[in-house]
Amino acid sequence: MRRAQLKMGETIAIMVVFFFLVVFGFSFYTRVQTSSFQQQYRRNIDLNAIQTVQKVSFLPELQCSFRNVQVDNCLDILKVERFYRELINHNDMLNYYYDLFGFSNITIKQIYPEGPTYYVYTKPLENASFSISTYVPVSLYNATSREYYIGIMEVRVYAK
Amino acid sequence: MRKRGAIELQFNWVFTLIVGAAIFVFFFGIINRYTNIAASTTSANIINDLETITTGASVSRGTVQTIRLPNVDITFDCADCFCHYSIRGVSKQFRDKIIFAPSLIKGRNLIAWTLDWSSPFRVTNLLYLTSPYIRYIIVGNSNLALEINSTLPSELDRDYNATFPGSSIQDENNYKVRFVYVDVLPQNNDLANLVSMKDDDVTAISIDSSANPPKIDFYKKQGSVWSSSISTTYFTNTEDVIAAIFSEDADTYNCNMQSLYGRMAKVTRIYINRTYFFYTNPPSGCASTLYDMTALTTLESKSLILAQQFPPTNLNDLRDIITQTATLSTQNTRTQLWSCPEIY
Amino acid sequence: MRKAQMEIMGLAIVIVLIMLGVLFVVQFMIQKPQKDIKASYTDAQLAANMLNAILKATARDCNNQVITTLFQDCASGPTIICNDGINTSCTYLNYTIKDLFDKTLVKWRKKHRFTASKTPVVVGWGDCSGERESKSSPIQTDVGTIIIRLDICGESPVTPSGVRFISNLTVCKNYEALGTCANLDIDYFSGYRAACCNEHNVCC
Repeated sequence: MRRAQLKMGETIAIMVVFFFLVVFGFSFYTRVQTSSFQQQYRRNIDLNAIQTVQKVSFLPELQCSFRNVQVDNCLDILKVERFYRELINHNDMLNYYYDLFGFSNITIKQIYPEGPTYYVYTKPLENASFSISTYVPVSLYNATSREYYIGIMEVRVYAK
Repeated sequence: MRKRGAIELQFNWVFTLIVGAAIFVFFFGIINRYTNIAASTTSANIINDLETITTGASVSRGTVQTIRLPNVDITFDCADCFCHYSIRGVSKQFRDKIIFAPSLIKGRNLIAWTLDWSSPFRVTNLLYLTSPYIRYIIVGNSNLALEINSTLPSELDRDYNATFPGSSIQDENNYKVRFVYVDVLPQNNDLANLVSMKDDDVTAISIDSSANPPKIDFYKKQGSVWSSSISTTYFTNTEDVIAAIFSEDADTYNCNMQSLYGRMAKVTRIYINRTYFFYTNPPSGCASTLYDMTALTTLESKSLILAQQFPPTNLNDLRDIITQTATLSTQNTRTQLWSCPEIY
Repeated sequence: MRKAQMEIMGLAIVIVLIMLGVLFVVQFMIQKPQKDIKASYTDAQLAANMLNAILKATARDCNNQVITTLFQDCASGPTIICNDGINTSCTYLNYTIKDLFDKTLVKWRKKHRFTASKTPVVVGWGDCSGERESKSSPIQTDVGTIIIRLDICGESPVTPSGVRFISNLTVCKNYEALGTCANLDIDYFSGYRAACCNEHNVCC
């Protein structure tokens, strides 16, 4: 009987050690997974930022066009100004473009010749834990004087 | 003494079995749970990557891409105009994108094709998604049929027949077949060798370009014959026809067209504001009459109607879009002739 | 004996499992960090977008000419005198582009090199000996085709101690040999001479 008890005790001790190893391994794995998910979350935010930049760069509402031929990397100043005016005056427009741009701020600073800052879209996230800014050089077309200027478009995407 | 030993041995084995079974069940449960989580995570990752790919594809107009994906089934659905795509239960809405696709895309390859949609100014890019394992059979010898055949990318599995192919159409083991009858009605003979396929997997559209406005009818196989027209809708240009070719059904087509006209209303609004600037401040040498806004305002009001319901109850709304598109195009050409800033 | 052997086998299996686990951990730890996806995309676009924007721009201070036209004039002349009556197309381009890059690429700490063949227009910042994203644009002129090129440079080679230089040793030595160390800050950027001294012990 004692021998059986000893045997059982031995088996239980082995199991305890085994489960201890399993728990240790599992907690380590969980920590690694958490770190991996955080990296993935950050990667998704980066992808989201890239998507926002691509969308705004190719938006027909802003892009220069001549005889319906779009000019890449060029934004029409008149369109930009009127676009922003529509957004701030009509909430339904702002809500519509929220699907495209999410929580972000999009501005264009005219740097050559020195000029104003144009606002394109403004919808920051309150209590955002961080934001990512992407700077894109663009041509700004003045349809009245038919001149091109140089601007820097800043796309700032917010995340929790 | 012997009895005690015998009991001890049996008890030991029973104990080992129970403990072994408990450990086995425990680990089996963990593995099962982990497998489900991993499958959901993979699906979510693929969905996110697909979102990035479709965004990139939709800004690159006039491009065809074959995208390698893991071997997962992607389903597309537009029930009640809530358009979304799903992988293993994880779904994502189309949101700003306008995507025409069959209900199921299988296999490792996804064909993404983008065309820009203008009326007459560019509104957005239409994204067509399909699989190389879906077969498209074009039937017809009109100019539109030839145009469609030459426009469709070579990556697709497609056949062109100037006349009804009849029993020459063999079952090539495609999981879906779409017949495109251009300016002709569907013929039952064409289904001769496809009877064994499921009804839902063999569909057709019939395009009537001579109607005003031009229309498209959707059909489905019923045994060995075509059903009567399930749904009728309309189109204004070749891009719309191609959208109907790729759409699983009329609902997918109509819902996306509603989104498209909603988008058109927004773009038109910007052009109205811009043109009004030139109307009130015409550049020197340019008459303000060049910037008449009648065509633009009509386009905006009609596109708002079509954004609510497509096809519209009153087909004149669609006819007006077609007419005013041509008017605005002429107006724009006039601004160029006068070397004035263009409307678009 | 057999029982002891079984026990030892069991211990050996446990040790093998632990070793596998440790190997797994080590593999994770020494795994190369993933390249920043956003940086890859923006760097690839930056050179192209910047160059396209520059070449299309209208130079209000220089007879409202397009920058491309000024490059053509610079390569084949220069004959255009800007609005101030002093600067030629070449000098105007040099200081305008430098000024532009100071507000953008230098501010974003992006090393770069801008050149236009057959012209004296050269603008740069930082060492461009590492990886780079380039965009070239050919322009037809009456002296042949000139190539406008913008390189956005990646990280410079790393020293054994893991420090990245911002100055180039060859450049520093050349200036020292010519006795023109004082021009380093003017020709490159403010602080370049100090960097030569700190990093390479040259031009101190």
